[in-house]
Parts: sequence; C-alpha cells; structure tokens
Amino acid sequence: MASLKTFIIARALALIPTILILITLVFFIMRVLPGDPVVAIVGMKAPPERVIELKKELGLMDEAGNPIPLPIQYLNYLSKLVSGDLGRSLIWGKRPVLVEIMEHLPATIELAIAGFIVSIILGLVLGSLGGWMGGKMSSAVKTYGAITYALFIPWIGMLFQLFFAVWLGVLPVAGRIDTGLEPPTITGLYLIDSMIAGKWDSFLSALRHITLPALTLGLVISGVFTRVTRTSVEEVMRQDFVVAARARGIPEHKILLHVLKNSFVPILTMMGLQLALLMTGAVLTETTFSWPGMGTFLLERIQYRDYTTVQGTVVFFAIIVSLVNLIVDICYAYIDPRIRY
Amino acid sequence: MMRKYAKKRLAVSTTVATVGIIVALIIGLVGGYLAGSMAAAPATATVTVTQTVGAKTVTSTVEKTVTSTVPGGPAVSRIVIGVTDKVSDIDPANAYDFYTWEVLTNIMGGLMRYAPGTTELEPGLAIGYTVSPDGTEYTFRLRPNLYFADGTPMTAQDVVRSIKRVMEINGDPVWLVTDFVKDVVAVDDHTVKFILKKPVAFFPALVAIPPYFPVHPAYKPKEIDSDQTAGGVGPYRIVKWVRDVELVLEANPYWWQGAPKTKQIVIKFFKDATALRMALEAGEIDIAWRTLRPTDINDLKGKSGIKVIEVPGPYIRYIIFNTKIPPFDNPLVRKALAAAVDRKAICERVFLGTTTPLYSMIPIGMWSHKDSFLEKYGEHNLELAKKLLKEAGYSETNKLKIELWYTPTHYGDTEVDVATLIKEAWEETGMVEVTLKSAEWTTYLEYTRKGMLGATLYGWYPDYIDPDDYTSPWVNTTWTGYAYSNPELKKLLDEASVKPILEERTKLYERAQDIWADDAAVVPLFQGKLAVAVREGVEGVILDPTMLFRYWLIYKVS
Amino acid sequence: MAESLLKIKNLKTYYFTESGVVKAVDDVTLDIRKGELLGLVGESGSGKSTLGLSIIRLIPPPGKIVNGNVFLDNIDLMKLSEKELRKIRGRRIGMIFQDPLTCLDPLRKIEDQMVETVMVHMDVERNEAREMAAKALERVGISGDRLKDYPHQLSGGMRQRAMIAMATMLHPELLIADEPTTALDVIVQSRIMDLLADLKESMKMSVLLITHDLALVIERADRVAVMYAGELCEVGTSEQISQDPLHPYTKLLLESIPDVEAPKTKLKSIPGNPPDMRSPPSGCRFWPRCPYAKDLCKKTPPRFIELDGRIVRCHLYEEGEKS
Repeated sequence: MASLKTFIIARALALIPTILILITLVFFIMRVLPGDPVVAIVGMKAPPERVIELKKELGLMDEAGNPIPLPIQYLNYLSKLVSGDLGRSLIWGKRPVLVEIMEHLPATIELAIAGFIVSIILGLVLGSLGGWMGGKMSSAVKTYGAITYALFIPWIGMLFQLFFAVWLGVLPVAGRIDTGLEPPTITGLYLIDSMIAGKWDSFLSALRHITLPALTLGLVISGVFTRVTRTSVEEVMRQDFVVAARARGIPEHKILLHVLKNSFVPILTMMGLQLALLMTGAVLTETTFSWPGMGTFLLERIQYRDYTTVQGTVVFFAIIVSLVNLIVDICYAYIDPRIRY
Repeated sequence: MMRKYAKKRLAVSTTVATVGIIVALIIGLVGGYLAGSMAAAPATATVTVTQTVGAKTVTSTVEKTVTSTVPGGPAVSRIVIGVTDKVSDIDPANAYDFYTWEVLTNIMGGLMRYAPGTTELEPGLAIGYTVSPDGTEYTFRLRPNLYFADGTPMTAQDVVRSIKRVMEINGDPVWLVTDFVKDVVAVDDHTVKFILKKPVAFFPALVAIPPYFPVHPAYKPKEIDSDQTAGGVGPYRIVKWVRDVELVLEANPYWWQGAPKTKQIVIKFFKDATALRMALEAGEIDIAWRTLRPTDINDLKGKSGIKVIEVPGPYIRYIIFNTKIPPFDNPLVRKALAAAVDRKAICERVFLGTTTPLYSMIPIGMWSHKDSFLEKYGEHNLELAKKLLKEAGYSETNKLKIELWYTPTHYGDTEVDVATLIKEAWEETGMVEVTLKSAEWTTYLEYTRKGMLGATLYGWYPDYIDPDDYTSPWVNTTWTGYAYSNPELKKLLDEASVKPILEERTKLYERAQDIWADDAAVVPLFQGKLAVAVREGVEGVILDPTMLFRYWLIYKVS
Repeated sequence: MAESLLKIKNLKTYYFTESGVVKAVDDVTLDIRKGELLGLVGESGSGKSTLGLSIIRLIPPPGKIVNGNVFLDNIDLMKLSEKELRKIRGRRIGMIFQDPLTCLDPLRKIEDQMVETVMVHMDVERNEAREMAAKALERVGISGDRLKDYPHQLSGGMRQRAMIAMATMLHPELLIADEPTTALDVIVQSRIMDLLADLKESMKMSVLLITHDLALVIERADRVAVMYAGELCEVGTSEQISQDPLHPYTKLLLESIPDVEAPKTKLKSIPGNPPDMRSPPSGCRFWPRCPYAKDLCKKTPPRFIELDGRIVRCHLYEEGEKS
C-alpha cells in the first residue's frame, strides 16, 4: 500500500498546476470579458468619484488613481492565495469568499450526492436489466437513456413540483427544510446532521425537501449511467468467462454479480466524468427548487463580474473534482486487482 | 419491415411508460407516507381592523400625529412571505437595493416615514421638525421613550452616530447622505439637527430612507456589517437569518407603536418565479411578493383561495436618446420616434396589463405629474412621426437607419419583446429601419457611461419619493454619458429642489416636464404595477408607490 | 467395442442472424465412448465449437438448437430443465476453452472461482471446498498456494492448467476441450496435452478434443471425427484416418499437414474457401472444392456409409456399399 500512498501524494501535487492553470484562465477570462464589476456594484446612480474610490478599494487602481496592470493584479492575487486567503467578494457586503463558499457548498454537496445516488440506482438497475436481458429490454433501456438525457431540468422539475406539491400536496415546492427544523451544523448536510443529532423530525423534513430535487437531478443523469451500464454489461456478458462459468454450472444470479463487478470499471470512470454534468445539473436544479447551493450563487457572481468570488469558487471546485477523481482511481485499484499504483 | 419497426417502437415505449409509472408510484407512496408527518396549518383568529390613512401638506413647521395605526388584537402565529429577491447587506450603510431596503424598513425606522398607501410623509421616530429660514437646517424632535429591539434606549446620539457611520463607511448609497448633509449634531437627547450643504426641499423624504435610519450600537462602527441582526427601532427584529434561504422576524415588543399583531414573519427566498407561484398554490407561503411573472399574476387572478392585489408602482421605463450621437442629435428625429412609440401595445402584449403607459418621467400618482408627452405627441401618432421625419429629410426611400440597444436579462426576459415592439412601431412609419442590439448589463452600463450607444432602454427605481429623483438623474449626468444636456432645464430642476413651498415646486416641475417632452431626449414608456398574490385570509396588505411592503400591517384570519 | 457415454443424435444448431440462417451444426450424429479421447477436427467455422457448446446447451443467442438429442446415460440433455442441466454442467461434463485468460474472471482469485464451483455442486463447507480446490490444482501440477493468485498473476500454461483443474475438480465423466492449446506455445501445448492424457487415464474420463489441428488429433486421439460446413464427413480411429483416409476432405487435410521430417516438400493447401454457411452448396457441401466432384455430388447430399467399422459420407463410396 506504500505505492498507493505515493500515488495519492503525487496526485495531490499534480493538483497544484491544475489549479494554477484554472485560476490563471479564470482570472484573465473574467477580466477580458466586457463589463466592469464596479459598474455593476454602484449601478448607474453613483457619482464618478465613487467609481474611482471603489476601484482603489478593489485593488484595480493604485492610490494615485492609475489602473494597476493586470499581471500585477494577478501576482497580488496569487500571493494572497498562497497564504490561503481567497479574498473578499466584490459585491454585496464584500464578505470573505471562503465564508460565502462554506455557506453554499454543503447544500450543493448534499443535493449532488442525493441526485447521484438516485441516478446510480436507476442507472445500475435499468442498465444491468437491459444488458442482462438484451433484446427488447435492451432497446427499452436505450430509449429511456435517450429520453432522460434529453430532459430539460427546469421542465421536469416543474412537472414534479406541480404534481407532487401543488396537486397532491405531499412534497414541498422549494427549500431545504421547514422553518425552525434546521439541525445543528456538523457537516452542513442536513440529512446527516439531523441523524447525528437524533432529530427525527428534522430528518424527515430534510428528506421531504430533497426528494424532488434529487429525483429531478438523478433522473436526468441516470440516462448516462444506464447507457454505460447497459453497454458495459452487454460487453462483459459476451466475454468467455461468462460462458466458462455457465459451463461449470454456476447459477445465473451469481454470474450476474460477477458480470456487474466486471462492468464496474467503465461505470466508475463515467461516475468520475459525470461530476461536471452533476454540477451543471445542480445549477439548474438549484434554481428550480430554490436550493441554496453553489450553482445559482456562482452563476449570479459571474454575471456581476465578482472576480474574487468566481476565482475562489473555481479553486474550490477544482479541488473537489480532483478529490473525486482520486477517489475514483483508488476505487479502481480496489475493484480491479490488475490495477496497481 | 415498417410494421415490424413500428411494433418494436410501440413495445419500447410501453416498457418505458411502465417503468415511468412504477417509479412514479414508488415516489407517490413514499411521498404519501411522508406527507403524513406534515404539520397542520396553524390556527388563526378572526379580527376586525380599522385603519385610517391621512396626510397633510408639509410646511415649514410640522407637528403631526401618526395617522396610520397598527392593527390591534391578539397576536397571531406567523405569515410566510416568498420573494425571488436577495438581501444584500442588512446594513443601511451599504444596502442599496429595493428588497433590502424593504427589510430594513421593517426592522428599523426613520425620523419620518410614508403613511402607508400614500406618498405622503408622516412622523416616524420624530414627532416633527422645524426648518431654518434659509432652508439649510432641519431640526427633528424625537419621540420620548424610544427603544431598540433588545430594550436599549435610543437617543439623538444614536441618530448622529448612525448617520456619521454611513458617511465614514462610504458605502454604495452614501451619496444620498453626503450630497446633502454637511453635518449632523445632537442638540440634546431628543433633538437632532442636520446642517445641509444647500437648501433641500425634499429633505424630510430623505430621512425616511434607510441610509438615514438609526442603527443599534452593535453595528460595527467603521465597517459594513452585512449580517448584523441587531436592527434599529422598528416593528420587527430578526431572530433568524440564513442568507439566501430564510429570514425570520419576530414582533418587537419595544416598538413605539406597540408590537405588531402578527408575531412572526418568515421570508423565504426563491430563485425561480415559477416555484414562487407554485409554493403559494401549494400553501407553503401565504404571500407571493416580488416578483411574479405577468403570466403567473394573470393565472393567479382566476384561482380560488388566492387574491391578487395590484397598485401602480414607482418603477418606470424609458428610452434614452444620446443627443451627442447622430442622428439623435436632431430633435426632429427624437420627436418623430417619441411620437411613433406604441406604449399601449407594450403594456398589453408584453406585460399583459401589469404595466401602465407613462407620458412623463414623474410617475402617475406623484404630485406634479403631467402627461406632457401625450399632450405634445399623442399616442402611437404615426402621422406626426412621418411629418417630422420628412422635415428631417427622411422618406420611404431614404430611410432613417438606427440601432436600438437593450440588455437581455437585467429588466427580465421580457426585454427583448419590449425592444421588438418599439422597433415595430417605429418601422410602421415606413421611414425607419431599426436594428436591435443587446449587451449584458455590466457591459451595457459601461458603454452607456462612455456615451457609445445611441438609443438605449433603461428603467428606474426611485431612491427617494420625490419628483427630483425622477428628473435630476438624467440631466447633465455622467452615467448616461451626458446624453441629455439642457442648462435651462438643469437650472429649473435645481431651483425646484431647493424651494420649500410645495405649490411653487409643483409649478416648476410642471414646466420642467413640458421642456422635457419638447426635448424628447429621454422618453418615458410605461410605469410598473406592483402585484402581490396572497392566500385567502391574509389581510392588511397595503402597497403604495414607495414599493415597500409593511409587514407590521399584515395579519391572517382563518 | 467400448460402451458409449454420450450419444449425439441428429443434432441441429442454427444461428438465426439478420442476414439469414446459419446452419452451424446440421444433423450430426456422433457417439463418445467411455474413456476415449475423441478428436473433433475441422476448419474454423465448420461448426465444431458449436457442436461442443450444444452438448451442454450453451449456445449464445441468436443460436438455437432446433432438433436432436444428446443422451448421457439415457438422459436426454436436450429435454432437461435449465436447473437440472446446471447440475450436469461442471459436475458430469466439464469444459475448457481456447483462451484461459479470458475464461477466468479477472477480478476474482483462482480460489474463489474454484470454491464457488464446488459449493454450487456439493453441499460442503468452504474449508473443504478449498481443500478440494487445492488438490485439484496440485493434480494439474500447480502448487496449492497459487490459489490466492489472481488470473493475471499466472502464466498462460498455468492458467490453462488451472482451467483444467477447475473443470475436472469434480471428476466429470466427459471433458469437452475446445481448442485447449491453440493459444499456447508449442512446448506448453504438448505438456497440456500430456496432462489431459494423464487425467483421462487416472480419472477414467472421456475427452472430446475440439481442434483444427489434425496432426495433434492423430497423435493424441483414440478416434477422430472430421467436420466440414456443419456436417460430419468421416469418423474413424486415428490410425484409420491417418493411414487410410476415405473422404476427399480428410485426404486433403492430411496432405496439408507439414511434415517435420521432410521440411523441404511443398505444402499443399486445400483449394477454395469454406462455403458461406447462410447458403451452403446444394448436394455435398464439399463439392466446390472436391477434386473428385461429379454431377451427382452437386445435386444429392451423400448419406452416411458404414465401411469396415468406420463412417464416411461421400458419394464415392456409395457404389461400393451397393456392390
């Protein structure tokens, strides 16, 4: 396992250039885009002196009122970043970026995990069903994948809201939890926190709130998983060891388990890759269900050219994505003994 | 072959449908189970309320009684309000957006305030004020026994500290103080004196807005305190604040008018207008406030158990022609375009009747309002437009070619339709060819500031409820790139802003509106309506052009 | 003559593909005798592997056994339920395949795969199953501690030995070996064949050796069956086939075997290509490539003829039968 440790350290180190490149890209793209955060902040009413004052405050201008060149701004930002300072948001209270992220991140993580679980369950069950049974079931699953993949999140989300909340009145339209039922913050994930705290009513409330968003997100992403699972299972089913196992009289249900395990590497890869889709999906889902997460937050801040917040968020996302990929890679080794690091 | 294929497709879709139904069933069952745990709606009591609204003209010395009252009776549980807005900073020193101002108005209060339902001022924390003869000194006398929400007494020193704090922090709305106020002093514990840079006729209107609100000593003295919940002297205090999620207010027992009847107000923050509407229908919220879509408002009007309340809002929309850029430097062109605009079509077709045509920058319902543009050009007056265009040298063969700029999201996704209808109306003259162009908000503002755009669509929310705020910001100003300059008008407006007598001011503004229409550099289009949808049983909703929803007036009956 | 163990009667296995029906095994009748090593030879695509898989009904879709019986001790395998058949697979009939790497589950240890097989068929504890697996491995010449290895940790020869161990662990009466040595190099090949021969003797089992390699079959098998285009052409002892082949196809096959002692002689390959199995030639399926083809061959399929205790299917010998 020493090799695995080396591998993890190597991966963590490899993260640094990745983040640096991302940060550099985001830093310059945000600034090359037309539109000035200062204008967005002060709106149209403020006098011009105010604009200059703000520019100084935001480190866009020096004390003499000359604009600070981009490379210098970039270096200033990096030097702060190294010391762990993500800076302050440029708009609305100029709060520390880290605080803003920490406020929004747990909600997104909770939604992403829940949506992911839904999609994995749907994907694995339907995909292996299609791959296993073949024929009509396979084409049915194929169609399911195509349909769900093409579903538009706000649309399907709205249908769910209409059906379950407005017509049946059994699940809430929006929000994360009922007023006053928030569990004490431990992980920031309400479902987990409420279980730790043993607050059953909080747990139920959080579960009822997350059901529709998770279902929406999960349904849309499940299409990809059903496809990968189906093709992967179909492919493994064609492998000789399945025939060989049958020739030894191994019952089908045991064979299916072995097939699934063998199909899992591509599925796992897809899981890692789906993280991006999960995040974009989360943005739309969050908007539809007024879920207080990172998605809408980031979108809004990009619109307002809130440089520091967008940059900080990107750093954070880069770390998360790399972490997930690392976990996926470690899972490979766990599942497939042929892979060693 | 075809038949076989069709059959196969049918089999597939049946399977998919079956899977879908099973999934839906499972969800339904689980949901039904979970619904069992839902709490019953809190019971409410029936109460009758009387409310009188009144106003007097402000003269040099004012001693008024408060005419608006708080509904009495036993406190009733809570009311949940849904909004798609955001709260920026719960700090008057930096908050500069409508919704946050509304929240501040409910957890704080100014020396003066607007009598609900009107644009008239009435005493707030002050019982009245006196103005020095030269109009540069306003002295306010505070009510006795004012307390912050935690029971700390509030004095004139708190007013001085708060105003100075706003000036020191130098936040976004600071100009609303520093443009007018030179100094502020506490004469004694209950008297505060503002020394102004120049006479300001509408100064009492200024002290009614958040930058002038006294805040609790807990606010950080020298920096923006975004999430400070200590509040000021207002009907409610914040008991819970989760940014972007919810804000829970509780009746302030120390408020000078006595604790409001509805004990708890919960604000839920939505990110999507459709979800806001559905939450109202599902009964998750009692009130759907800013901002429902026009289609949703119309739909909700027909729903049983839901009431829609609409009043004219102070929000206006208009076109700016940059008089420095040809062909808009030609008054004939501007007048022709102003005449051809079809305001009714925009209000009906784009906003489904949720907006009203506007013929002056000063909105309907505000004193001195005059339909100058209607008098001068009529509505959708193509004949006049054609005549003016001909005079300017254009014809069917030599068309006037112009660009019309709009920004696609800042004013809602209806903006492209607004621009399209304007284009259509102009092109109906047969002598104009319009190209629509759009730019994202920040870019749009920046280009405008640099004076690069010829014709642009803008909107205006007032900072203070006075004709000055609907006129001065366009004449000789930087943010428009000096699109509209008229020294004579500027002088007139400056004069109107300092004259202390209302009748005189009214005359000046009426003249200003005529000049404005004649110049046709900034052309009013329409005025917004405020719409709020409430569930049956919610009473006491009073909306007025201040746009601020007063939570302390609402209550619920079963 | 030895008693027969497995009787294949009029077996037909067809693949129903989108471009037509492939008659991979068409009316094959063949006995496998107790304790013998029967070689089944044919070019690739001749249907020999399909025949092997048909015996234990493992034809993948779109293939289907359309007709015939396979008797194992009077039990018709074709009529058994899937569950009953599973008790025979791996227990009474074992099977090994060409590529031992792909035939082992790459994600599980050899031990797990062997133990699973034992426990499916016998009501034993895990420990006992593990001991049986270790013994079976030792029998094929692999040390028992390799049980803990994953397939990729073994060499090619060892993998095939492990496969053999797995297939013979429960002492089956018949081992179907489908090209067991094709993927291996020559030296390993002969060791594996030695091993199979040893096991056959020690365990008194029959072996159906399916291969395209006639030389191997002649060297190792007791009897040989030659298959062409889904049909049997000739069945006889190794000696008969090598010394006195009757069917023109067998003759040509024999001539195409490289002679190790006379490396300079030119190799003769069979002219023409195997037929398209979706529309095989009418009459005798070999006629387009047969040097002795007559008009009769093009029209009428030949019958099986018993000649000196051997079977051949060729018009050349039909007259002899009559006389």
